[in-house]
Amino acid sequence: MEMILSLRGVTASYDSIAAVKNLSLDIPRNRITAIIGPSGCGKSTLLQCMNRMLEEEPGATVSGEILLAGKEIQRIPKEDLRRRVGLVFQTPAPFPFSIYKNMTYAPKYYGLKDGESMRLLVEEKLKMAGLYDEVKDDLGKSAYKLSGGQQQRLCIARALTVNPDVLLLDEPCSALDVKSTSIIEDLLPELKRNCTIVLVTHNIAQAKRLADRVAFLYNGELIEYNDKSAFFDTPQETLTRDFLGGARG
Amino acid sequence: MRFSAKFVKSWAYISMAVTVLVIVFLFAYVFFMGSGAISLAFITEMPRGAVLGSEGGIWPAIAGSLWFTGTALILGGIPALATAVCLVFYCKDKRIYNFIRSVIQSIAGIPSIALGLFSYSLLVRTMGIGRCVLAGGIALAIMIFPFIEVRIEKALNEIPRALILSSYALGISHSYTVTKLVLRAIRGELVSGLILGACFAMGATAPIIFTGGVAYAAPPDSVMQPAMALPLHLYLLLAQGTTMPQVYGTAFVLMIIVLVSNTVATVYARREKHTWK
Repeated sequence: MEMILSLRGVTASYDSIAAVKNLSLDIPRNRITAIIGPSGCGKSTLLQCMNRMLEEEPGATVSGEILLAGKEIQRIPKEDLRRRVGLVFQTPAPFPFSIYKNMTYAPKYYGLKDGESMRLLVEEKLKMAGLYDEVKDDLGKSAYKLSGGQQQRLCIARALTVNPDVLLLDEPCSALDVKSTSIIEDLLPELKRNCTIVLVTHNIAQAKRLADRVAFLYNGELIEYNDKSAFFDTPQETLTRDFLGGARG
Repeated sequence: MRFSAKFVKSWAYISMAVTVLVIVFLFAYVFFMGSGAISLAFITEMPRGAVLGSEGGIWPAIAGSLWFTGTALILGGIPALATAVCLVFYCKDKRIYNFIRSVIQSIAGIPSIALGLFSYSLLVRTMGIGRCVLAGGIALAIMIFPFIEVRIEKALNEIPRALILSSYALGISHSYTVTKLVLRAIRGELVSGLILGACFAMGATAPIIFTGGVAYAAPPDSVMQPAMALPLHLYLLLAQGTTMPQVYGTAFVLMIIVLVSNTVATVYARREKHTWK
């Protein structure tokens, strides 16, 4: 199995307090890798290490080695890396523009000017995010008028407009209702055909439904990482068993 | 309700009512006294008369005020915007941030007459550019700089960090994020801050007395010429004491310009303001 992201001895700290400790992990291409663990165990911090978003946090430092398709990410310009490794946050954060302008914001930055190509791109990515049919008649509407679930799908579609190799999703359904969660869960297996997905979730059932591989973090350390079936059926570590059984978390 | 709570509530309502009444009375009085002097000729003609301003109009003062205000807005507004963006998005060192903030607060505390004196001694005398719109505009620009900067910085700080991080997460540069996302998102507050700053400059007399404002001049053609200004013209007319209808007329025009500008700024800011989610 080809690995797209490889982490080697990664430690991430906020003001010298380690949130992720000496963690090594390989993420396979075109698969959904779920990172689970209790609140505050370093899941989101780990995700932000993967596209250097942690550098935007004051006082945060990262050490160790992270390779994207074999290349150390520190050697890739920050903007290029983030275009290739997109990140969608927990809370939907649409820009205060129309749906269409949200979608064309990044392509314009990357030099796409042709109106017809832009329109086709918007249509394609909104369809991939399962939002097109709901908004196709009113793309000029403010993104703020969408429901929470629609906003989150817009954010996913917006992240897809730059054709990332990897999509990092930081608890994308935690602020959504059951119906919106279900729509996003249906969409992720479709998305993995075109890009690798790393999904942070505290929802064990969601990881069970969606993931191909599952990593369990506890207090910033990687406790266990395995294929989904092995991870859930025969967990090797006591901490993992306790967490899955509800004794910890 | 306890007596103390009733007292505080009544005190607040009475204070509010008194403030509103005083302002309404002030405007109504000036408008009532000044409306008689207002005519098309008063707005469009040069001042005339044995006592200057007792006849004719105030057109050069209106034009001069616009020149002073425009100059101040360009020279004060652009640095204010740049400073606010720099402090919020680029200044990582807390000590430098605190130092710049202290400087801005200090500028806000400088009496406007001292700014006029500074501009007069440095620009008019030492550098020899003479009394002109530019010298007065610079004094006004320094005066309105903190006024605008504080408003823009507040608006920038209110933008949710998640929004900015979402832009960075697309691989977008900081500068593109600032120009295409942040400044668009705060355009209501930005425009209203600039307009309110312009109103502040338009009503100021002290910074232009020594630097560029004169008792009589034709509307200027460039920033290197001296100019009349509405507040200075008002002051000079009032000092003469013989032209009260013109005094109120001038005050009426000045207040109308400021009131309309304020209303436009408020309406625009309210329309464009985002309720961040």
